Amino acid sequence: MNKKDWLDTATKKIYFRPDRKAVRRELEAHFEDLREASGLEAEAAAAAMGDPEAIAEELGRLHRPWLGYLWRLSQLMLLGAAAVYCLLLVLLVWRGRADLLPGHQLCRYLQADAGTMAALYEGPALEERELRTGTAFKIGGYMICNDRAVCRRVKEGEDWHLYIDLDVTSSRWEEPLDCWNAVSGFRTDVGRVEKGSCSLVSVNWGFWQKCAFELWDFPEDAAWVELDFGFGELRRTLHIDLTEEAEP
Amino acid sequence: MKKKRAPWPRWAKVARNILLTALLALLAWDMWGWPSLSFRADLRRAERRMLIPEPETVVELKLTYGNPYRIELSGDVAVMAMYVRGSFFSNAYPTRYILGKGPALLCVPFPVVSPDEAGQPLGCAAYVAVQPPEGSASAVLTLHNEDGSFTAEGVPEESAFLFYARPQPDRDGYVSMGESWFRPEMFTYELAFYDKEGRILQEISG
Repeated sequence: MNKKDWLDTATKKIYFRPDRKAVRRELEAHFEDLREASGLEAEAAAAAMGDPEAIAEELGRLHRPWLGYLWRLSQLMLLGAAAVYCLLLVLLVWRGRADLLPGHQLCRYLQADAGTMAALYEGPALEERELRTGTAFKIGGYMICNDRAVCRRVKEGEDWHLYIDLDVTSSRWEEPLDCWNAVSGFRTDVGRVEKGSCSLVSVNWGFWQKCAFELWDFPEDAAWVELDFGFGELRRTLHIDLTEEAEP
Repeated sequence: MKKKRAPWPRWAKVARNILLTALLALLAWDMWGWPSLSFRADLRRAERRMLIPEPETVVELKLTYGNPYRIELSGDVAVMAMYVRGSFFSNAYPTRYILGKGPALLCVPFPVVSPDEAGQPLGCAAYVAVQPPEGSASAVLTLHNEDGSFTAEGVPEESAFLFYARPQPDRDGYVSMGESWFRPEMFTYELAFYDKEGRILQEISG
């Protein structure tokens, strides 16, 4: 038996090709070492290497093919996922949707943390009243906390605007509260406030969300404002007393 | 001399690759905006975000475009949603309506497939009467739009009544339906509810 036949026979039961090639290279190196050290001819060296059939059995048992196939499959999966991810990145940049890029939402959330409601302010305030807050309630997997409420007026004789800052925590990842549609009504002690007299800003990341409402066109003599969140059994009311100022 | 690091065992490489794939898939899904694979799941997600409880009444219609259209009622709120197939995912575009006390008529803003037609499906306008008065056995809708006046008998569907209406074909046999069939501000109606004995229970108009 020559060297090639011996190596072919000894590695024939290793079914995963990259393994078979690697083992074959190693056996070939042993073969050459043996020949150099002993000065044997190829056929004699092959006989000295041992029974190739027995070696093939042992090597086949050691090198299970399924782990190799699984490894190859995992490589392909990783490659595919990386390709899809890169393609998405390119598509988002190309379509001008940089706001969806990873980390962008988080940056916006962290920036907004300093003052969500400030984003709604129009000019410096002539008068400002910080109201007492701290109401919190849990509905439909959301924890809604009223962080701050501020009444402010920009010009003399102009309506008061009420700013309500909410801190919302969701129990589900990336499922922020649809603040605009989740509010089912606004009212004051002297009547209803139209939803058209309200604007909203909201930022979220992961489980966390900051949103701020701005309400205007409500009667100046109103003592409180209420916002209804949710519908049916999920309805909760956020009450804000306009007469109670926060302690400095 | 720098010691050569032992190669990772193959099972560890497999585990590493699977974990990295999962991480990349999660990042890609996140970048895509957490799309849903089913219309129902996407709609329910939108409802959860609007703090709407599980629906008590569900009416599903088939639009002439082939897409399903879903009307869900839970308490004092109705959600109407059309299924739109995205690049790879299902999207529901819901519209929420706050219902007042008493019955209300909702208009499906797209032509639906008429349920009683054999063979070639024909498009018609569909209206849903929700929150009918207690004991309603039947309902009749009279609709007035730019094509004239039409009367339709309600088909009971859970706690709602469905109405289908379509103009008569023209001389060439064509049926054309303008916006006045699908935009509530462009039509007027009278809706009457009757009990089992045929006595009128309530009538509304809009």
